[in-house]
Parts: sequence; structure tokens; C-alpha cells
Amino acid sequence: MGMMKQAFLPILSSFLLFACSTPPEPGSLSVSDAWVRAVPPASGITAAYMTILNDSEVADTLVSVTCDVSRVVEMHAVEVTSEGAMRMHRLKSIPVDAGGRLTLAPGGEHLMLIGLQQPMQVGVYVPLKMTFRKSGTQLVMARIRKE
Amino acid sequence: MRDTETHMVRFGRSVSLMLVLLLFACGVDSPPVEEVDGDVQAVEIPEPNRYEFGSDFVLTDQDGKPFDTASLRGSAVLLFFGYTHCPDACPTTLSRLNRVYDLLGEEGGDVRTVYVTVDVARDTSRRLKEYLSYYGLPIVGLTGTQEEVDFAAGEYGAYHKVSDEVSEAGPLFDHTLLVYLIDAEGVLRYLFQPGESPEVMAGVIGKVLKERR
Repeated sequence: MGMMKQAFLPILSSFLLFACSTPPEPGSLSVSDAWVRAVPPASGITAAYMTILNDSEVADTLVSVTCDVSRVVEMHAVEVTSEGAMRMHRLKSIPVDAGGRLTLAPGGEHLMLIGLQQPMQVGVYVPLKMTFRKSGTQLVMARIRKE
Repeated sequence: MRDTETHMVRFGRSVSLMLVLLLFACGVDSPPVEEVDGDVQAVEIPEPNRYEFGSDFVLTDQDGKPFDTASLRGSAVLLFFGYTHCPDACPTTLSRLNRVYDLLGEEGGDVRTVYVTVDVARDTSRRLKEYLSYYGLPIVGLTGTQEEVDFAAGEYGAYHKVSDEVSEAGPLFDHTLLVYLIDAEGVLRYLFQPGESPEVMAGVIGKVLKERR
């Protein structure tokens, strides 16, 4: 047990530190306020939202997202027409301007988690592996919220 | 054995403490920033209208039984069109309605929500029941044949069409996101836009409910 404890704690803490995306070094991309909407267990689909901050002088692009709890993750934008009709557009990628802030939010750009492999239980974290063209891949922990 | 248990408890405690500290440090657990000035009165509540469109229709409810919206007389009704495979807009609307009912409190007892699916192929009565029961709202889920749903949507000018976007999610629908407020006499009184706040919605509904007293 003692051995395990000694070995486990540092691993756990480094994982946790990594997981909650601590403020990045300048010149990098950081993700904050990531969350996934809790949906009925009968639903096989949900959405993830977050803020992506590009604290660098180079524009970057979100090119792909994968996630263990869903079969596939797609990027979508939502357009609401003046008549109140909603249209979704699938995106191949999402640009993040140099020094810019990109907000993925309900009714706007979002990540669509399709083919959920487990119920979306409130409070649980969903790991999202997000790949940016320039800055590479980072793991983002998105908390499941009912809202 | 006891020693191990104590060890485990301590270990568990230190891990939990660390988790708490880390979550705190990262601000993951902090509540979403909301502009709450404690000043709900400051929100201007628009006057309800009286529209001349929107009539009753008959569809099939989540128990597989025929449901005539004329049976809702005496209650205010929040009507909207959506589908259960909708990942963003429809769950957002349901969440807003949850908040509206919270704000209405007891008055919410006089308000029924009607959810009409625009995806008749996938949204069976059974699926609507499973899906909607999660939200704990006084809600009726309605489905029907394509013709029946087209008629209901047409009465309210609710646009709905299978999107040409190809997604792993299967068919996506372009559809109207308005929430229609119908009064206890069956008159359409207000069209809530997708961006309308729950506070404004509850305010307008409150005005319509008060007319009866």
C-alpha cells in the first residue's frame, strides 16, 4: 500500500493538474469552462461547450476532437434566421485568431458528441482530446452539467 | 488489516482534499458567471399580443393515445417544435423552460408544455416518453404522421425541413425555435424568440395568467 501510495499520488496529481488546464505559458492555446450538457439516457447525442483562448501571435485551427464516451465528435455552427428558424452547419475546422478568444456556446458553435456510450451523469468529467493544427493535441476535461 | 483500512481512509482523504483544492484552484467548480443584480424588476416585460393564427390539432401523445390540443383549455400552454436527436437547440429550449417553471413557482401549475416532434420517423411515442420524462416538466410529447405534424406546424408557421448537412448524427432538421404562448382560451399570445431570457418568458406568462383573475 505504501509503495502504491507513493507511486500513485504524483501520477494522480500530475494528471489532475494537466486535466484542469492550468494557465498556459504565453504563446499557447488554453481551454476553460468546458462543459457537456446532461441529456436523457434515452438520448444518444449531446453537445460540449467551452472557451478557447489563443494567447499567441499565431492563428490556430481546431481540426479534430475525439472522445472516449462518444462514437464520434463533430463540429457544428448554428444559425438562427430572422424568422426564428435554426440551421446547423457542420464545420470541418474552427479557426482561433491570434490573440483571440473563441467561445463555443449553446445556440452557436459547438462540439456534437454523437453515439454516446454511457449515460451523461451530472458532475462527471468527459475527456475531450482536441487537436489544433499548430499547437497540437491537448486533453480537456469537460464537466457534465444539467442546464 | 485495521492498519490498512486507516491507511486507505487517509489516502482517500488526501486524494479528496487534493481534488477539492485542485478543482478550486482551476475554478472548475465555480458557478457560471451570471449578471445577477438581484434586480428582476429591471427587466422590462413586454405586453402579450393576440395573434389570429394558430389553431388546435390532434396528434399522438407519449402514451400512444390521441391528443387534441383543445383539451388544454383552462391552462396556459407553451408549444414548441423540436426533435430528440437535436443536440444543441432543443435541449437548450428545454433547459430554459425548466428555468421558466422555477421562476413561475406555484403559478407554473397552470402552465402546460407541448413538445411536437418534427422527426416523426425516429420520435415514436415511446421514445418521446423516455426522453421527456428526464426533464420532470408538465410536458406532453406529441408525434404523428408526417401529414399530421406538417398540419400542426403549418398552423403555427413553424418551419421544419430535413437539413442537407451530412452528419454521423443521422438526419438533422432545420426548424423554428420559437416557443408559442397560448392562453387558457386557446388564443396565441406571444412568440418567444430563441434568445429570450427565462425571466422575460416567466414575466409574459405571468401577465397572461393574471388576466384570468
